[in-house]
Amino acid sequence: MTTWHVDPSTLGAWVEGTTGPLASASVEQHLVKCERCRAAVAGLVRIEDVPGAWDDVLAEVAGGAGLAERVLVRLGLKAGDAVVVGAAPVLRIAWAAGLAAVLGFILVASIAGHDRGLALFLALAPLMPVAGVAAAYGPSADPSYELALAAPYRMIRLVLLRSAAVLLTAVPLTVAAGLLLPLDGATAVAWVLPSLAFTLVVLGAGSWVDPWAAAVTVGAGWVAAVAVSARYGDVLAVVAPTALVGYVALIVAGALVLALATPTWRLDGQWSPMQSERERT
Amino acid sequence: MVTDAIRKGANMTAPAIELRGVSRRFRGATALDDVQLEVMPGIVGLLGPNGAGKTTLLRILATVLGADGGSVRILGRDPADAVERTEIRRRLGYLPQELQYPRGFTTYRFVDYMAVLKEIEEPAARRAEVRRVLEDVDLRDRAAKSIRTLSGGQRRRVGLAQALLGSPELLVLDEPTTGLDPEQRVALRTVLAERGRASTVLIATHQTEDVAALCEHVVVLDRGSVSFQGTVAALVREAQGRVWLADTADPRAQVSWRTATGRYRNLGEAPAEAELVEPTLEDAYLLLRGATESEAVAA
Repeated sequence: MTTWHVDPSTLGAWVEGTTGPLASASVEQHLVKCERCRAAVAGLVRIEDVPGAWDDVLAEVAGGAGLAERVLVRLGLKAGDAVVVGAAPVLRIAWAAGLAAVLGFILVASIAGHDRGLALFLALAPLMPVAGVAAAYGPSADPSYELALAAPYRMIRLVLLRSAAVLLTAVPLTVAAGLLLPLDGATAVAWVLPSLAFTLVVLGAGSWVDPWAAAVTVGAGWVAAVAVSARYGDVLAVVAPTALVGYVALIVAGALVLALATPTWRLDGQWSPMQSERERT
Repeated sequence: MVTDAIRKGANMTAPAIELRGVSRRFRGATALDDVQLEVMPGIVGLLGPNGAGKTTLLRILATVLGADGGSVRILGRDPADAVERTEIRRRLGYLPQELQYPRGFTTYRFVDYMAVLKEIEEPAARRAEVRRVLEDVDLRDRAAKSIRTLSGGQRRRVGLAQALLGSPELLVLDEPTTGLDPEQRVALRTVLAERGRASTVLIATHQTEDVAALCEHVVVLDRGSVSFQGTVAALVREAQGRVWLADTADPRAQVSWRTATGRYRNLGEAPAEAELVEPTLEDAYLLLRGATESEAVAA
């Protein structure tokens, strides 16, 4: 039994959660030992707050918000939007691990043989974010897609949020890998332009086709272009200044299509007859 | 529940669902053909054999599938119009027939994610709502468990929990009782009966006993068309005088089967030395099915 007690105003502030960390720790230490102050606390807690407190505990224990989600909220994203981004399968460990594995493979290959390694890097680096975006939404990527479709949340918002998250993880990692290669600095980052262009093409095409179909088509075209320029000339032709102008044009066009198609975006609507053909009756 | 209806603006006197001549084809096969349907608020059972078009109909009502022809109005709105479709989705709870969950999700996280998609943005309100629906389906003690580790019946209830989020004006449930044990089914009936007082609950099922226990109205779908709609009592009345208990299976009966007492339940014309008994909803449903089948044979 202690002889001093926490004064009522401090106790009140502690219950409200407005005491600083030091004072809080001190009050908590004291409460463990002092029955009289515990009783005083009981009188200060409003009973209607208890279910809310229980909800908070349940959410904290069972919600299992991942690291990515917490970081996003810290960065200022709305809690609800962070949940939507965090629910994307691409933001799981598997995606980061897959990305790291591909980048590691490219690094090893380019150390073994410079020209081939360069071609490999240029062929694969721009497709990393494209694959991530394609895997972030759509019937083939999201097992509970039909439920998301029946909900009022705008699907375009979901897709753009997830795509942004994919780009934010994939682009810096791939840029870092490129800088480790024996390339000049411009080439190591030039691939970002075709990458952004292809991502926008996949998103824009989302109004008409499944994102994976678009990503595979774009990816195959790009790999072929890199292979042809490596075989018959200079592989760096795909990131030559004239080509880069083309990518910028594609970015502008993709963004326009996306903006114009947004109000009637297919994924916000009902499944088109073509798409639902694959479905059971 | 009544206050709930007022708050949500549910109109209990106008039809919740109105379909006129609705059709839907898949790869040339007709799933729905000229469906006429009017559903008033309350609990409505949707019966029909496999392949009758129940799931297609429910997906159209859940706004995830468009109709090829005819007019669809859900809660007084047109799902083909983008703005009205979103308004329907704000008032809709949907449980698909087959539901898969994102990998690695806990029960809580999945329902929380769905609450965000249903625009329950404010964190405290969302937490309270997620807890409420988990309590409704008796899963609160499984909140922190990975969905993967749950039993089939528990997983089905996770799906139900998300459908109940936001106390929707229209609940569209595709075989909600699949995988549930008898006690869980009774518990679910209690929750749905409560919802049915303030909203429209449409349940597709193979379980005639669920319909008999829960629904006032019933719709029977057969080969893509509505073969009956009305009260459960009216459907049962149609079987009045056509259900017989006899010592043998009657060859003229539309359906007959051996019951637990060793006697045969014969549906159709009176067999010799048979005892007339009160029909159940199952009898009535089987008789209706038999009638449409023989029509199909004749045609």
